[in-house]
Amino acid sequence: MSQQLKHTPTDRQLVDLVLAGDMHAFRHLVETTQGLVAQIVSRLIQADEDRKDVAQDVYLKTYQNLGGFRFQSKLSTWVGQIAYNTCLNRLEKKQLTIYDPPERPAEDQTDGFLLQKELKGLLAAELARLPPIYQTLIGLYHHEELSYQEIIQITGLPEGTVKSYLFRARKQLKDSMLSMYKKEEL
Amino acid sequence: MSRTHPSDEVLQQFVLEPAACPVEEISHIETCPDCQAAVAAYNVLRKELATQTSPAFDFDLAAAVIGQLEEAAVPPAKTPKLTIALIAAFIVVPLWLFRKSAYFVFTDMSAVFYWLVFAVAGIVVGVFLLRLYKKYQQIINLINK
Repeated sequence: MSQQLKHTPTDRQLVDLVLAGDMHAFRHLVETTQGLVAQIVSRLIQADEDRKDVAQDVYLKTYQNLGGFRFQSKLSTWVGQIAYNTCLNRLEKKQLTIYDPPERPAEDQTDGFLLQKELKGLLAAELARLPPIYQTLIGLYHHEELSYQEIIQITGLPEGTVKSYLFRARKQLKDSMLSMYKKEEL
Repeated sequence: MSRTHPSDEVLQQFVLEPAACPVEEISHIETCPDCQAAVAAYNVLRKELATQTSPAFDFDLAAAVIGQLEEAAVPPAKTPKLTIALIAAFIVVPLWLFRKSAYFVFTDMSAVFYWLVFAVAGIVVGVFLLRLYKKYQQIINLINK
C-alpha cells in the first residue's frame, strides 16, 4: 500500500485494510474521524490532559475492536459511539464534574451593532455556558451535520431526549442572542 | 391564521425541517411579524452554529496512537468466530442429544413447578430491567451534572 490512500476507501475497504495490518489505512481512519471525536471529547471532558488521554484511548479501542464492527452503522458513527462511551466511563471513574459554566461576559456590550465577528464570539461564549451534553448535541447536529438517528446511535439516548435537549439548547442560545443584541439588527 | 403564536418548538421545526411543519402553522408564521422575527433569529443561529470553529486536537493524534500500537505490537482483534461457534455448539448439542427427555421434563411437572419457573423468570427480568433503568438514570445524571 502506498504512503497515502489513492482514493477514498469505503468503510468496508478501510476496515479490511486496517485488519490486514495497514497502518496508513488506520491513519486515514483517525484523520477522517478525529473531527467528530474532538466534538465529543472536547465538549464532555474539561481538562486538556484528560482530553488527550481519552482521544488516544478512543482510537486504541477502535483498533482493538475493529474486528467486531458489523457495518450496521457508518464507521464514523461507530467511532463516535466509542468516543462518547469512553468519555462517560472516564467521567464515572474519575468522578469528574462536567459542567462548570464560564462567567457571562460584561453587559456593556449590548448597545453595539451586530457585527459578524461579535456575534460569533457571543455565540461561542453562550455555547460554552450550556451543559456539555447540550454542547455535544449542538456540535453533532449543526456542525457535523449528523442526523437524529446517527446522534441516537452515538449517544444511546432516546430520540425524545435528543430532540428535547437540542430544542432547549437552541432556545437558550436564541434567547441569549436576542437579549444581548437588538432584534432589529437580526 | 391561528390566533395564538406557535411554540418555539414549531418555530425551530419551521427553520430546520419545514416539510414536517403543520400547514396551518406555516401560514401563521409567514404572515406574523413576531414569528418572522423569531424565525429570523433562529436562521441566524443555525447559520452561525454551522460555521463555529470546530474543536480540534493540538497534537498529531494518529501518530500518538500508532506509536502506542507499534510499541505494544497489538494486532487488531479479528472476529471471535471460533468462540461464537463453541458457544453455539455448547447450547445446541445438549439440546439435540436430550431433546426427548427434555420434552418429558416439561410435560410431567406439576402446575406449581410452572408457576415457580414463571415467578423466578419474572423476578430475574424485573431485576434486570430495574438495573437497566438505574444505569440509564446514572448516565442522565452524569451528563447533566
